[in-house]
Amino acid sequence: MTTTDERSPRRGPRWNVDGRALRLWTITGLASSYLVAWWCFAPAPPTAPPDAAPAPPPPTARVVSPASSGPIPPAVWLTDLPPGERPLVTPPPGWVVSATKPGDGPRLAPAPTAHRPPARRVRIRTRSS
Amino acid sequence: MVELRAMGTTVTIHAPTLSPDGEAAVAAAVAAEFEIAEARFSRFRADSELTELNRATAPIAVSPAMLNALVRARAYVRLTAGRFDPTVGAAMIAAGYDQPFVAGALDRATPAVAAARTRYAEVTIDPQRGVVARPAHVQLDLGGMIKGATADAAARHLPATAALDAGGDAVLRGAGPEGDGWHVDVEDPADPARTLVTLRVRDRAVATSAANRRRWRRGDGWAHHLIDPATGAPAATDLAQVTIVAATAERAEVLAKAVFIAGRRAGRALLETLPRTGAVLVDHRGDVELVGPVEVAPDA
Repeated sequence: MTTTDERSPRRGPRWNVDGRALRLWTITGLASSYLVAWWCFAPAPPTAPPDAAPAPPPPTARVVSPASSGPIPPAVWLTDLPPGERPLVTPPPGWVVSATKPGDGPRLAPAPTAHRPPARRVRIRTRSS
Repeated sequence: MVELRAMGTTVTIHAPTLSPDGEAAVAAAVAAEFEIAEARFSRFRADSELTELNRATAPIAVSPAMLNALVRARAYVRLTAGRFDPTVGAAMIAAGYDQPFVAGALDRATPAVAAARTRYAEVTIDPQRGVVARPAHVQLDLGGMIKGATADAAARHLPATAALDAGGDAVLRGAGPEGDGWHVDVEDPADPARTLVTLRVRDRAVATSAANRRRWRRGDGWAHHLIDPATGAPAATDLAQVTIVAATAERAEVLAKAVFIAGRRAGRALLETLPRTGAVLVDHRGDVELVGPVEVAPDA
């Protein structure tokens, strides 16, 4: 008897894999890819030269307290201090020390001078006196 | 404009470039100059240095300011050929001017008496020792000259464009508020409300002498303060008023008095020897004559 084999010649082997195993394999593959990529492209950690000085200790917060141990004096205007007791203040370029009241402290420009246009021609009168 | 009273007259300050505060500060400095000068040179103040000098019966040491004024006066006596002479103090008193002038206060029913003639050469000045000696009959009066000198000194407190008017003796600094010179009205001695001519003045001083204001009744006539040293009496002249434009108020004041006393002809001759001095001469008819470098304002 002649039998006919109806299988396709291109037909490959069939894997008998269930869905659960397929998810496991997929996750494992992605994780492996990520691991390999990270291994290849991640920046190398800095390496200290052998003769480098030891790193300084990390900074710690410092509290500045007044020199005197007494109560902290209230704030005063610089111009309220006697001239001999005023600390030297050097403001950054373009800054000026503010005045506490008109006439104190430096000024950016001299006060404007009032120019009064003559309402009428000024006349001088000469006579015997 | 600021006004103050000094030396028996009104001092007016025009400083158009100053703020009101600036004008007030200048006025204070000007007032101080006049007060210092009056305290030293007034013949009406019992405690003035001039009164002390006029009382002295022997040579007396004077202050540098007094010495300087007396030396300058000597130069003016020579310049004016004696028509200006500070030794007319006694003649001024004899004419009735024996107290600060107030209109009417010097009027007397009795006629004035002429004083002995005096000459500045009678006053001995020793500049090296700062000592001055005068004869008993000589009384010094530096009034007008000192008023002019004080106006000059006071004007040094003014800015570059300003004017100081001390009762007719004016110092004009700069070219005026509008740059075309200070306009100075010359009063008509016959009608003080009227202006005879307006001058344009730059960086000069102006002074006027006339007999129309500081005058008083003596007997049937009038006396005035412009004493002729040649006669010891109020000057009788063909001029009613003289205005001088000069470098300083002191010089203008001295020359105005000297030209007034000299009269038109001799006064003009004196002015012709002073090329940088201008004058406005007014006679008793009201005729005006301009002499030397004076500039008349076009709007006069």
